[in-house]
Amino acid sequence: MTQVLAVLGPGTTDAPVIDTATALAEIAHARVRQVSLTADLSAERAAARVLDALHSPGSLLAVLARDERPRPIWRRVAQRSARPVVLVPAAARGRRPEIRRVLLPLDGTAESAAAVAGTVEQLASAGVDLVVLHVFDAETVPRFWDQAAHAGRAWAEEFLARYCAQPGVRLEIRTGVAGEHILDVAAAERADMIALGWSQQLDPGRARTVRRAVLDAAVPVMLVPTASEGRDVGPYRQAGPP
Amino acid sequence: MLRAAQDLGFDQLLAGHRAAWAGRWEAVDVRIPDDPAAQLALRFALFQLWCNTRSGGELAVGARGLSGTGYAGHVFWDADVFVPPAVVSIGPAAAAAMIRYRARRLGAARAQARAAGRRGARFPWESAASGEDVTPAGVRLGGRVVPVLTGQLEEHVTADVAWAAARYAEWTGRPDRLARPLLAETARYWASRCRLDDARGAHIDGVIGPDEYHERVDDNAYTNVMARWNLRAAAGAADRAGLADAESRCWRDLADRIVDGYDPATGRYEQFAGYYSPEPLLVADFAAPPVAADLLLGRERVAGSQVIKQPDVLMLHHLVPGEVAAGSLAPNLDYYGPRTAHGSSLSPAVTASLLARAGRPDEALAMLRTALALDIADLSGMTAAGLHLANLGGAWQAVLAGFAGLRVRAGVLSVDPRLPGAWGSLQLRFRCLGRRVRLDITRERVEIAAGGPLLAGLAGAAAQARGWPGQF
Repeated sequence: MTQVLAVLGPGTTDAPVIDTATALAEIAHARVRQVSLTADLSAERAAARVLDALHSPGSLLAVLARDERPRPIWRRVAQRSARPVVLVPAAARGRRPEIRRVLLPLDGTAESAAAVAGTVEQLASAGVDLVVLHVFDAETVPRFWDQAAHAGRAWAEEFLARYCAQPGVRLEIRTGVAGEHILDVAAAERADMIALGWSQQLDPGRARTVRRAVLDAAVPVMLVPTASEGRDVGPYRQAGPP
Repeated sequence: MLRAAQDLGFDQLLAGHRAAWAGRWEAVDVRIPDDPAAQLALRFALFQLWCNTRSGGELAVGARGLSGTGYAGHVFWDADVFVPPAVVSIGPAAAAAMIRYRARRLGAARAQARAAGRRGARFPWESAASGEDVTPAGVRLGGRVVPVLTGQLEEHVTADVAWAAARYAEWTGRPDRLARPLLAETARYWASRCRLDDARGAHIDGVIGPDEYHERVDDNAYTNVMARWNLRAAAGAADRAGLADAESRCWRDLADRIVDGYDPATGRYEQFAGYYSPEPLLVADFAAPPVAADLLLGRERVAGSQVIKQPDVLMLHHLVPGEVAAGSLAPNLDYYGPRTAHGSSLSPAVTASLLARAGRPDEALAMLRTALALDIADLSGMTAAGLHLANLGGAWQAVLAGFAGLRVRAGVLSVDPRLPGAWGSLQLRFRCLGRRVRLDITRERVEIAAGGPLLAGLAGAAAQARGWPGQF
């Protein structure tokens, strides 16, 4: 049977991680497998243990606490994992354990859409309400917007047809800095989780949107690696979408 | 119909189809030997205009025609000032059908005027089967519902409807039987719409002009001057029909009183009362046009700035050049050009035409290329919802009225070419004044031939073309 990993460790508040893992396992018709990390492990060895488990056959994704102490390992795991990683903030404690609505920021590229396509399909088939968010900036704002009442609808239909063609999906459009709007819209929509495709690169100046979403979100954030053909991600090769 | 088709059989149907299309391309075409890409894109535009129109009865041409479901099939001013002027030159009967669509909804337009406490006929911003206004009341944008005011306030469409009918009569040389009632009823509307100040100057308050970034403005130059044209045209039509009376004389008097924002010192028309006060923002300060500036900067910011969505004042130079001050095209292009975001698909083609008229044909060609690529390259990201028919009509018009400089006045076709540097020649076939016309323009000469007697001239000089071919 497939499994969703719940990574527990010293200094971790277990309940939010377990709740999130349980909710995702229910969606995926999987079981929850707990991976416990002891205090004596270095961050590198702890990450390696998680990655070993995550890349074993049948593992779909791993759920980790974002704010674990004393040594957060989520960066090491997320950057090297070929499978989705869900980061749970301590603030998620006390929220409802189900995942009923997911916010999907999409930047309008085929890569980001492809990264989350499998996740989207699985969430949609489980009846999860999906809200896509696209944020215009100076590079991506449309050239023409004839009549707002009609252009918005036409643009949304085409965007969803290209990047998230699931029945019942809604599109929210904003303009500005993606990271800021992701948090605002997640709150306004009462999303239970945010799912983002990402390139797994956290070099300075990169992945600003991911950093902002991960560090400041009050709900779990799923990071889904984009395609990794030709790129060395260590011993953990892309195993395909869960 | 299906049985008849079945009886004819595929081979005969195909032969008839080919013959019909060959006939179309024999009568209407464009050749630009030095620019095959533009030629192909213009032929695409002609092809789509034919495919989305037909003659007979009445014809409602929605913003996306029959090519897609975008814009719910609603009819906008696209179907008055962008598509018909193109269609009348490729299939006049289809243009007549478009005018009949409006004429048959005069009743609804009268009702709309009455409901607003006015006289005459007021046409809706968005029209469908009934002729009543079907503009959506609001739109969800940026997480909130924003009211849509175009249905209430974008009234220039009333004059646009009248203009289309008059333009059809002028271009075809046919009596203005369709135009006269439309002109009269719309003139009545403007007569009841104007407010007279203490000095008896006439104003039109609280409208939206073609530039939809600025709402509820007073004395929008486009609305005012089109209303003025409307009143004068209606009075002229009454004169020609021998129906001049006190009312038509009032129309002329009122037309003379309408303020238009023109400043002789600068040669500029103020787009609306107070336009010069907001933030003097140029489009280049924040983006490379075309750009939907309202999305990028926010509606409030653009409304508080001088950035405009599309030609507004300059539409007057495009549609009613006789109503604007001689020599005012250049100063208004120089002023409003850098302030124009071209955030409307209607914008590039019209701008191309105006730039050509202003003696800037190379810039015009660059703008024409944007217009030609709009659907072919899906610049809007929305062509899947349908082709932008107004843009296609505008692109054809940019070649006819812009680069070839074609005008019809009092039954005479005039030619005033402005070829861009990249074009050594331009050959056009089109319909005008009841004739098939061929025009061959090079840098050295202009050759015009017609399938019958035709009065034509070059830049004011009169001449006559007989049979095939004629040469100046």
